Amino acid sequence: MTERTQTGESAVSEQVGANDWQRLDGVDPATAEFPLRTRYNGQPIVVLRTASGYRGIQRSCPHQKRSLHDAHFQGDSMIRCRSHGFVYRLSDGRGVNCPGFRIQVYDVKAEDGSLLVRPAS
Amino acid sequence: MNAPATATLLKGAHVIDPSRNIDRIADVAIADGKICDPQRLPANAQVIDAAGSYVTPGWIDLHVHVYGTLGFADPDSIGIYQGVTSYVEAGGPGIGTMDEFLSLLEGKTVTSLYAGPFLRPMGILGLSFIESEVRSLTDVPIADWIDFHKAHPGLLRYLKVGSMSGYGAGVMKLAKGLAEILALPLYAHIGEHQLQPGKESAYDIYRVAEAGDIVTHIYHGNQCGILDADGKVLPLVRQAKARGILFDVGFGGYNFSWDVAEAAYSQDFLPDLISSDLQQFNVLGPCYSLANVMTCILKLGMPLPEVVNCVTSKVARALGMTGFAGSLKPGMPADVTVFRIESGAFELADTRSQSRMTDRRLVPTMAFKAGVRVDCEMERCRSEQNWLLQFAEDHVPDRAKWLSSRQRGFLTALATRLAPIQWDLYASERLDYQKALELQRAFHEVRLQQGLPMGEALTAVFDSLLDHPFTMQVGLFLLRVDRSLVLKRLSEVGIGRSKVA
Repeated sequence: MTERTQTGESAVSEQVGANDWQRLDGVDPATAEFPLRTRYNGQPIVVLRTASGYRGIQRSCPHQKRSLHDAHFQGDSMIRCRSHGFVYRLSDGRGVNCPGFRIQVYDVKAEDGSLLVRPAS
Repeated sequence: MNAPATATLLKGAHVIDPSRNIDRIADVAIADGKICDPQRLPANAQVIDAAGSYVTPGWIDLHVHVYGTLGFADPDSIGIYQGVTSYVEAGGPGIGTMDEFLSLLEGKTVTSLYAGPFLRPMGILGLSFIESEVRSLTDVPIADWIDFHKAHPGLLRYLKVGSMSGYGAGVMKLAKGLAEILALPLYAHIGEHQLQPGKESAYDIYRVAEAGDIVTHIYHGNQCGILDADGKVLPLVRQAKARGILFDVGFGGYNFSWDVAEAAYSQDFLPDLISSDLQQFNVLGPCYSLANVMTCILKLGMPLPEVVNCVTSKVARALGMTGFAGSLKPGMPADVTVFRIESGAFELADTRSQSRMTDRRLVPTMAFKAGVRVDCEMERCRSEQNWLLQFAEDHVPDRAKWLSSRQRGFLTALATRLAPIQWDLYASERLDYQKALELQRAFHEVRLQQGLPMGEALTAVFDSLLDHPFTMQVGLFLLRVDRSLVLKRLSEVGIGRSKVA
């Protein structure tokens, strides 16, 4: 089971270097519920499970700061903010229908029964 | 679209025609594209049993986005297919892009399309972080405006401007001056001031606008709204209304708040006009359709005949269209909307995640455009292809195969012309508006050199880079595509063999 805080986040993990892999403490990918609200080095993120694996995104839409934890999937490669339909690519975070807007995306991998996260290059 | 019938009788409907104070069960007759006296219909007229339905003059949505960065691939999907027989593109193009707008959309919609161009020559940018920047207005070419307006009588219905804050009343006076020169109403957007510096000067619009001018987004819940801190309608706003300034709903993506609407309505501050502001970012909700916005105003308490009035007769008067729209008077073009009132439990969301429940809603079922019947498809607009711009990054779109040899030659020349220009929309936090202008100039320079008609040149670019057709300012479009992809793709399509002569 994934341990959760009162805000619905998974438990806070230890800090790592700016672009290093960070293990998400208390998150078991086999039993965790996705989308998963958590943090990378203190930054709020959401981990998604897609047909091709896991992907992390910054939690708030840069447009009006709405949380993306309940964003719609647009196919398997994009997510759409529920507020105003801003669509972002999961590959590189670029706004598809909102030029100039971009979200930080994260690589996520399962390893030894845990999830590890780092900013995508 | 259904096959045209020369004569049709809509029998036994509840007819609401505010232009003639009609609100009763009646028949409406259509012959040769016009409303006619039912007694004069030919014997072989098609009879439609409209009992249980409402029949009104064709709805006019004075605020939509079918062109530009907010527009749709299928403009009729928010028009005739939702019971709207006429609409106005609210600011998508400006005088610097009206030629592009017309080449792509003129005569291409069943819904009658009019323009309310923006003061900025390129039109609305659709990027909230620059929309309010006064320098993006660049210049105001008076002679071009006058010449265009004379050359296209009846196309322009108002001049749009954002009541930009932080710069005093100058921008609004500039727009008002131009509107006076063109003898058009000023159409002022008052939303999104939470994103602007020096917000208080947005209120100057109420001092600058005059009788017949229109303020849109009246029930927005953002800063610089129509209410004071205690929820009372501002005296300045009431005075503006008393002077004859018209107030329009303009639901939009950010600009309808139940709290504001209910507070204002309870103080008898009602809209004069109802529009949707439909765009890519609200068509899946919370706006959905003009019918949904009308349902919201019905929920506020406005009687149905007055709701209809606000999308028919009153709009026609406000936009100088009474000679040909907004009425079922015999002899008028047969623009007609048929709808029913559906009972149930329906949620009506605003743009601030607030909802109200209602037990009835308007559901358009068919519309007639100049006598030709179209059955409504309210969900047609929701198709992803309609609202999501999809760049063909890893393949050449099928439609590119059908570009002509001349179009391919143009693309090759354009790739050469663009090669020395550097751009990257994502390299900075802010849009490089001057770069968009530079790309636009390059496009037109090559187009003129090649002698290619505007529509063919634009289609060549869009069909090379998009999976589905969109209509947009070409400078802005190029700016938002990766430069390397543009150069590679234009060259690749340019040297390809055409399937057509």
